[in-house]
Amino acid sequence: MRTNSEKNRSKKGYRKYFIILPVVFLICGYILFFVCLTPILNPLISVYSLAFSNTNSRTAAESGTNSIFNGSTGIRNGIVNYDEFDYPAYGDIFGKITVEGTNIDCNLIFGSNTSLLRQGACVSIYGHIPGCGSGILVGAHNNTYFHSLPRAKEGATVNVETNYGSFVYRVKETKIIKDTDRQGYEKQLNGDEETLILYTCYPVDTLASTPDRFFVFCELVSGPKVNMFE
Amino acid sequence: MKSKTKTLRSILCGLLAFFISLSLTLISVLTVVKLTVLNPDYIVSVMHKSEYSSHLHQELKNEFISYGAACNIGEDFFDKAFEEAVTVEQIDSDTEKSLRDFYENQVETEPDYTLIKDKLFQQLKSYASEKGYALDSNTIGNLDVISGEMSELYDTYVGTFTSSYFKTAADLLSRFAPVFTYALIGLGVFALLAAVVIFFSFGKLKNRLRYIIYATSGATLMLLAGPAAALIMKVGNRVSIANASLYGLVSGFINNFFAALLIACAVMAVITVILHIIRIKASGKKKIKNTRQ
Amino acid sequence: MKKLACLMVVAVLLAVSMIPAFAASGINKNEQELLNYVKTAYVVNGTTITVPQEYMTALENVFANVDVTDAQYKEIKAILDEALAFCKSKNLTEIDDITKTGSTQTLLDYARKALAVIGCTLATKGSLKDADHGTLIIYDANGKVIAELHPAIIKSGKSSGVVDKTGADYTSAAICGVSAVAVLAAASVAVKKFRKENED
Repeated sequence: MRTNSEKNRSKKGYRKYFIILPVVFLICGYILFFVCLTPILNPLISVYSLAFSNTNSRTAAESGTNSIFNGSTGIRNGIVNYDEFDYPAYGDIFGKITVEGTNIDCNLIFGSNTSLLRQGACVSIYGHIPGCGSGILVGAHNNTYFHSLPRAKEGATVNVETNYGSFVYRVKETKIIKDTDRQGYEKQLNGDEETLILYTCYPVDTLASTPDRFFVFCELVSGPKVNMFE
Repeated sequence: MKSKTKTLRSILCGLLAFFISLSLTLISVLTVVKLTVLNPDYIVSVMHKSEYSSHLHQELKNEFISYGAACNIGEDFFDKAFEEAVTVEQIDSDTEKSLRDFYENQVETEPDYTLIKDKLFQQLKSYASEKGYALDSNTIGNLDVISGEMSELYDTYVGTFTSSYFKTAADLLSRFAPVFTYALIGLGVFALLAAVVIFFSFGKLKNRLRYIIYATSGATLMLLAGPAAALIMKVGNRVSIANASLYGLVSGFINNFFAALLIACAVMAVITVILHIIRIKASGKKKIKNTRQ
Repeated sequence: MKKLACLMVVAVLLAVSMIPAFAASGINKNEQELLNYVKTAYVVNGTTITVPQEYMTALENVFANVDVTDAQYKEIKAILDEALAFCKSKNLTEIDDITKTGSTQTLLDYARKALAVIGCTLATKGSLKDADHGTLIIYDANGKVIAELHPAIIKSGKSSGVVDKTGADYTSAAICGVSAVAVLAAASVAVKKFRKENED
């Protein structure tokens, strides 16, 4: 027959192990799961890091437009250094563009996506900004901002005002190029001469899904040089 | 009883209790997986709750507007088209079908959206008339191409679950789904056998239940720790998708799965409590018996 | 998939330039070194492999808004060295090779690591089904878009995408299962002996 103290010890033992053992089972169980599942988990860990982060639909700001353009600066020549102006960031309205002989008079936005194209002419990040001495690629929709682009004739003036300078270009050539034909504009885009390249889908007045683009190549007439290098 | 034998019994029963708790945890997880991840009704209900179709409807409209701007089609056309031709109900129905096909391993990698194309074509013809375009063979041909490309664009976004990698995943799923059932049966049999061994290692009910209670409370803790940590750290909310539609669907899928695991944990906790009550009652009866004697 | 793979190469490069510093900075010495590295470092069988000039321009545009310090340059260069060694080990000479060798995820992972160094993240947008409509977006620490990398809208053939086989090793799970059964067997044998004795 058990004594009372033996029974009490037994009860305390049960209570003690009721707390300790499940915790031990928890720790050992998770260790065992990780050990057994490691070969499957390892490739998934890098996927997890890629697939999960703090940036997503809920936390990311929509790339809207922030305007850094406050009208013409009046700077038409000379050199503008990198620390003398705000280099446009993605989604910034940093200027305006007008083309002689057309109705084009719209905002110039740095970067291009579906929503930015609804707000103005977009400067591609795969080209430079005016003043850098290379190709500047600007596109806009043919039923809105660049609807009248095909009316641009050789010799027409293109005025580009930016937050750091005023540029004047002259239309040198117009071409119709297939959207997949990179060679049609690659030389001007990546060349050593400053060339403003405007483009839009073509033809503009027909209801058609077209692979053609109307390109306008413009040479620099005047404007400051931008020095991006320290 | 010799203390050596008692110790051996305690150790063996402790180990068996550990394996029972592992088995119960795995059985619970596999059951939850079968009822959620492997259940088409689950993802369809998440889809409805997260308003996937409404969000996708808006996203699709923006893409169509952008596409239309390159074809000289104004935004006003799409306001009408997205009320009549490309509706939330249509997107809902197409997505639900593709999800259910995925679970039945009948993914159509080239779904037929002729109905959408035809509706859009008719609407484009009306639009062209209103805008004063002559509906000659050239224009009709262009409109046919446009409506075809629009239906392809529709497929690109709405047909996410009909892509080739989902087809591969569906194949894998159909091959491994039966394994879940066998695993459940195997684990259940093992747990039962282990419980029987514990049962017969002791004469008194309260001692038999002791180790079973350790096992169920261990399982409760295992089912609690992981999912609770995941929900507190908002793992499901951190998925890197910028589309509101897909983000809502995926994060809802993940969060609800963890919530289901917590429900399994609650069930296990209830079982533990019941066993504990039975054990207390068994101890109480023994006391009364001894007192009477 | 081809275009998306190309974008990932750019993402690695662009990623390394993102730092949450908002000084009007221009392209400093460290950034010029990185540009030169990207242009010239990848040599396979005597041929220099480099990304298209447009992508170099995109990188310059982003460098114009940031400042890469000496310490960050070293860290970034180390990541680029690793990425380069990986590309060489897989013998990647064309963009198509990225998907053919199943290297997409690894390259993307390098991009993510470089981004994480400077508090930025990558996300996808658009269609997951068609890579030509897919977009990689790079966000700064505040969730503001720094760059959106999307291909031209080109109809391309559907590719099946190569998925690496992981070749999972189930030894640990097997050992665990065997030991569970062994314990059960041992306990079953001992049950008779336990039940013979009186218990407390």
